[in-house]
Formats: sequence, C-alpha cells, structure tokens
Amino acid sequence: MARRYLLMFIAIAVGALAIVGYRTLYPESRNILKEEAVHQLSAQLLFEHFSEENGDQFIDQAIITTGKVTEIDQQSIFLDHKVQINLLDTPHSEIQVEDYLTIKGRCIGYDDLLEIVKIDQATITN
Amino acid sequence: MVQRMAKISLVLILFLWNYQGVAQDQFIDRNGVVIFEASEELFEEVKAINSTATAVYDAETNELASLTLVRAFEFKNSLMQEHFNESYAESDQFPKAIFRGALKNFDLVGLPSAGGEVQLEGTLDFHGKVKKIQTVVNAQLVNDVLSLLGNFTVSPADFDIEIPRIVRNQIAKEVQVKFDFKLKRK
Repeated sequence: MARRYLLMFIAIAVGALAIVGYRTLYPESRNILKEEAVHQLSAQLLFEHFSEENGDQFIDQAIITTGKVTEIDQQSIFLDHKVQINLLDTPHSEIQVEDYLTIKGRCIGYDDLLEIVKIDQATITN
Repeated sequence: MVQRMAKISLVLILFLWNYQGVAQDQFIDRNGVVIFEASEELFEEVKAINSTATAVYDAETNELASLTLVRAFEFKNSLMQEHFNESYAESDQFPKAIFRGALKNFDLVGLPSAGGEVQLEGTLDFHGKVKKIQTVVNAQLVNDVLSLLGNFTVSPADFDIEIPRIVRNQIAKEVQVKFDFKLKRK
C-alpha cells in the first residue's frame, strides 16, 4: 500500500516538474492588452520624445497614446501623421480618417527613414 | 519688374515641377517582411519574423534603404526572443538594422511585366557593425506596387555576436535572411 502511494507521489512530482520545466522553457507570449501601460501620452508628444532622441524609455513598453487618425492603409493606421499603429484585430473598416482614437500597444521604436514612431500589437481602448 | 516676376514664377514652376517629379518616383513599404533563420537540424527552430520593416526605393537614383526595428522580430518561443534581444542583438543598445544600397543597372521603366532579376548591392548596419551585402532580388511592378523579393546570408561573427559554447551547435553558423517588400508609389 505504502509503495503504491510512493509511486503515485513520484508520478505527480514528475508531472509537476515537467509542467514547470515546459513553462520555463516555453513561457507564454506577452499580452500587451493585459499589461499595465507604463506611459500614457499624446501621439504628438510621443513623436517629439523620439525626434529629440529622448524616446528610449518607451521602447518595448506597453503604452497608451491618443491622436487623430490621418491615414489608413491595409495594415496600419496613422495618428497625427507621426505614429504608425498596427492593430491586433480591429477591422480597418470600422475606423475613419479624422476619428480620435486611444490605443494601447507596444512601442517598437522610431523609424528615421520616414520619421515616424511605430507601435504594434495595438488595441483600440476608447 | 514684370520681367523679374516672370523669372521668379518660372523658377518656382520649374522647382515645383521637379519636386513633383522626384516625389512621384519614390516607392515606400511601411510593413515590409524580414525573416532570418539560423536553425540546425534536430534542434528547435531558430527563426524570427519582422513584419514592420520600412523600405524606401528611389526610382531616380535606384537607391534602396531599409530600416528594421530589432525589437519587432517575433520568435515562436518567447524565451528565445528574450535571449535574442538581451544577449545577442542587444536591442536596447542597437535598436535598428539599417540597409543602404542600390539596384544595379536597373531601369524601372524597362522592367518586364512578369518581373526580372536585379543585382542589389549595399551595406547592412546591425549591432554596431557594417557588412557589405551583394545579392540578386526578384523585382516586379504591378499597379504602382514594386515587389522586391530577395535573400542573403550573413554570420553572427560578421556583426560581432558571440554564440555561447553551450548553444553553439543549436544555432547555424550561416544565418539566412529573406526579405519581401511591397513598395507603393508615393
């Protein structure tokens, strides 16, 4: 009887270790929407931080930004001409130029070629 | 006075004409795809995709520039992504990979509608190091969208990236880089 309990204990322990090991080696991907936003600021101000070479603090952070939609293309929308937003799943047909949007997403950095800030994994929150 | 005004107007018209000409010859992709793969057989896939690369092509000069934000490379395994950013690419210190080059002996107007192969030469600036790149790209122009599809090979050593001994046999010495740009005429 005692041997049976011991075997059961070992099986459970090995199973638990396997789960912990798997979760350590293959952690879940980030869910930006669930993360608390580290910064909240207007699209214009976000752009100004980067253009003045003071934007490193935003890179790879979950941020909330607000601005007017100035362009919509197949994959992105643009706030105030200066911030490119790649939405996770909102259809672009639901958005119109001139809309004021608040979005939460991950800031991936500043594009010197086009002088725009890029945000991905974004969700509209207003 | 009238003559002077006419001269100024002419200069202004010529300037605007020229400006418009240059502007029309630019092609831009803001969501270009760049993929790199350094997988070894029998080991976990080492592959990342970036779908937010910028590429700008100037048909007047044949120059092509591309900027990839390193943090936007996505791996299947998020732990691998973390290691890539922190230990190998050091993305906080070197957040961008920039290619600057030109399409050689290329004439956009003479490009066959079925597309053609074009020589691309330039430099890739990544992780604080610059490497010369020479490759052949497949170019095709359809309805004001220029597709540039190509690949080249680099090595971690080219960019001063040291692979720790413990994972050395799991990461290929040659890294395949593929790019797929769909540049729209502006």
